[in-house]
Amino acid sequence: MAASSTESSRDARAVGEQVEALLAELRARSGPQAADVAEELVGCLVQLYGAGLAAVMAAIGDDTRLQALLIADPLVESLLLVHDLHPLDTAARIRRALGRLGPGAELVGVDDDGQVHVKLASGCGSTAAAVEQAIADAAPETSGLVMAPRDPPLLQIGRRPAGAI
Amino acid sequence: MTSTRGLRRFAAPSPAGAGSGSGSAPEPERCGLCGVALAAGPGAAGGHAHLVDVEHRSLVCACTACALLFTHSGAAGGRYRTVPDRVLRDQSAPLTEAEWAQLGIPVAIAFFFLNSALGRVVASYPSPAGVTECELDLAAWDQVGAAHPLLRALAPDTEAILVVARGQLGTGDGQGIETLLIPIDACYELAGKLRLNWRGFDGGAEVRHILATFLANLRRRARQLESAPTLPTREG
Repeated sequence: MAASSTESSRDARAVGEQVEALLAELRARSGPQAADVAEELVGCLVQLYGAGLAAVMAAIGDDTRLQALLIADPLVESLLLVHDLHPLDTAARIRRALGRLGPGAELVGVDDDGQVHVKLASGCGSTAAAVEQAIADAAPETSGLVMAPRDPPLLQIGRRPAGAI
Repeated sequence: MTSTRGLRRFAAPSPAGAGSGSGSAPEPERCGLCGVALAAGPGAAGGHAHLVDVEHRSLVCACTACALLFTHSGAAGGRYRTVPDRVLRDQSAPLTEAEWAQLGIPVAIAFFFLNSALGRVVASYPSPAGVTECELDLAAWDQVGAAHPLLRALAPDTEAILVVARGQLGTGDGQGIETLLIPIDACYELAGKLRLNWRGFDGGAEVRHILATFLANLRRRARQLESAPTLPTREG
């Protein structure tokens, strides 16, 4: 497994899966207590470099040129997403990801529960799966996806009750 | 986990320290030997078994697999002994009021167990302060035991004789002396519950209810002592 680590380390998703697999292996081999300690250990390291990334992003501030440079690198972007440090907000990231898929899907909004509401122009099943994956990658902090029916009446989503701010 | 959500669960410090991604779920009880998570609660009713650590005079939670390893008294050099789950009564020879008085126990509910480290029977009772040990006239115990095979069926360290003077208990449970042979973890379960819920001078209604439920459960599980005392086993 050590041989594959160099190529897969360019992808936070692959590393995340590898970490889960290793933890499962440890849990099976050395028992749940050892695995719980290992979970804490992984958490320690992830939080440490997360704090470092947060300091980097704070130093950059509002410099959009540097921000764009950073998120152009897929690895850096995926790590910023892990730590909620991405310079673009949730809706902007989802719109960007949907734009890359083509004109098939349109973001309606993100509600208070973190559910993403999307309107599909064409009701094709494979499009829905691609949309779901694209949103999960671009906005991992969201909790789910709601596909609005085609050509719905005007939706009012994401409004807070008055005075709830 | 098909996305960066995989690593995200490590990015926030978890308040419980460790946990398998479940966040605020309470830490489950674990087997003291192999560490596997256990069903909550003691006893045979869906819970998990306990081992007596004879060396350290303590109870250890155990999964079924580990508990089965220590059902023989020689296992682990005799350090661990699985608490059996049998409950026995002897309806042919209940203790009399006179015999109970002879033991000189000042409370209405007490349990007696054979402490193998001390090599003698120890008397304890549940109280608002937990399990309290009290003086026992060993000669009187031997005398009573000679007339009651149930008292002699006691396995060392892992079982106890529970004696309840029902008239003095205040649970409206009738009269007479009730004697049961029970797993020792049940004694500690009762003592813990009483300690947790004790209110005021006499414990209060909640404590009487807990006691009544506890006794009713034991009575339901109780089987008649066979004429020849047998070695305890753990079922399941």
